[in-house]
Amino acid sequence: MLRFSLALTKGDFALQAEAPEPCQRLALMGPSGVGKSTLLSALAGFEGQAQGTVHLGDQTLAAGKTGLAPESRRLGMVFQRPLLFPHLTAEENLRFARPPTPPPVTFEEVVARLDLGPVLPRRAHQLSGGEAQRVALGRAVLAAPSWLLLDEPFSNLDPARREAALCLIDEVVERQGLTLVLATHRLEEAVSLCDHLVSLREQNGVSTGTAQPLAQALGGSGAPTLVSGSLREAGGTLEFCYGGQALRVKAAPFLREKDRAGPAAALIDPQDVHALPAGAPAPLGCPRFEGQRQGADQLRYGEDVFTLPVPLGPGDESVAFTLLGATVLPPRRRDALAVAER
Amino acid sequence: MMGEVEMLATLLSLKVAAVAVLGSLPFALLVATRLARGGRGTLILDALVHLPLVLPPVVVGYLLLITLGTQAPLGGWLKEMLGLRLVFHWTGAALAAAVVTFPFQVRALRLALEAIDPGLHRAAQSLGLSPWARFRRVTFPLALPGLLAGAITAFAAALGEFGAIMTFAANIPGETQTLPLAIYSALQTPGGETAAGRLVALAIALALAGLLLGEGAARHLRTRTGQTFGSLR
Repeated sequence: MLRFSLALTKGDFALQAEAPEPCQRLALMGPSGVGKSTLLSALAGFEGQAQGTVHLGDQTLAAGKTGLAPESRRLGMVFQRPLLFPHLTAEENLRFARPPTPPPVTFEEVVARLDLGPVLPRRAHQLSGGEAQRVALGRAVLAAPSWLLLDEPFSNLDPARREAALCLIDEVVERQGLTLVLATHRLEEAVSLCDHLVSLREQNGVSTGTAQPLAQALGGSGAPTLVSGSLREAGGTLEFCYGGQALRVKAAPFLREKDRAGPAAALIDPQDVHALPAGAPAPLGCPRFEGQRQGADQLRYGEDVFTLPVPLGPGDESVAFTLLGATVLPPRRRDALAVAER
Repeated sequence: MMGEVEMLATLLSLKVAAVAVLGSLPFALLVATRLARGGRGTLILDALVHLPLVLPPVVVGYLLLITLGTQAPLGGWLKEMLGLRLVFHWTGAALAAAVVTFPFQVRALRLALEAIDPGLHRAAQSLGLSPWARFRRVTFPLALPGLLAGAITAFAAALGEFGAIMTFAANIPGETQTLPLAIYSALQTPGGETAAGRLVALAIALALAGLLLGEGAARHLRTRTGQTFGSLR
């Protein structure tokens, strides 16, 4: 369980983020350059200028200007780059940490789950981007960490391996009761693994964010919208039916065969909401909805409120818009997001 | 055939160069680490380290003589307290060679250390490694090609050192007369050209073997780690 309140100034970059309530699975989201990686690095103790408190369980990792050195924070960290040791093989990289307690999963299990068998004898410079990233992920898990700090850990993986890696992290976190902090720009990764969200936004030149339960964070300004609908297969493609129209499914993590039809919930990312000029048709293959203006950058459609990526200009109360895609929630996450009640 | 003088000079040269390089290596590592870290004082330290490279070797020898000669306070103290006499002794020749070739080692090491991705230190830290363990398991193995390249270059240069050894340790056959000094002595002797020729051939062969060996070893290490740095180039 992680609680923190951190402030940091680095040149002309300033960051202020907090998680006042303890959270176990925290996602950091926000546009590129807003400070997700810096916040992760500050939590790990790498940012000397950071001030504030970091509590992990009943342990105080940092208070004020002082804190434990990163090597004493029991980290399991995946950086933006794999950062494998070039003088070692993939296997030696995986076994690099010599933790005092046994890791949550065995070496063999990590190798099997992340499909690393064939690359074990290779050196770091002989690995592809995706392979190196999987080794980095395995290395972090095998360090027997108290918490996992992952910076876009799945970005270079193909869909099948991403799902396998997601499942492994999910299981490790669940089995060991570890704390997870995941920086990502992929909504489906955040909703698959996390139940709290820090949505970092720049306000008056300061990157700011506060952790909120995911369900509460959704639908707010700048945050994705949770909608109910149903899934169906049409010509081999999965479609999400919402408001009587079919939306393109952008991602559907952890979705089993039997869940590919029937009631479902999905998230609509603000960047997929586009207002249409009066009288203009929707782009080819995209549905058209008639909504009501709500404030400068939000639209109401029935019960649901969508945030627009750019504020609306002056105009009528009624605004036509389209939705470019939906991220279908994994069935087991629906409860966590209290979808059942909606 | 190699005569006794040539044999003595060759063995002594190898001994002096090896002791010079191995003895100064730990200091070179310390100084290179400090220089690679940057910060205050780096410029001054860098200039001081490189001074022997631009000073005439005779000047280096003279400076050693006035600080470590038996008449100098420090040299006198060393002789009295530790019974250590450097002038007219092969250890003095090794010290002179070490001072003159020190910049070669520091330069190669510094380049190698600076080429190590700082992110790797963070990764090692995130995996719970203490500063000493990080040095032992990450920094040192990655700097090894540079260390080797520097040591070999310094070794080859130490084999050829003349001015500093001549000035500080003098030219005593079997004690401080290394290959270049033996060549010089042979050339000063009437009819010594043949002996000088043999010594020159020996010097060339030794230096070439050293350089090829060093570059080969450094290249092997670099290929193993996928690095493209670590030598003087």
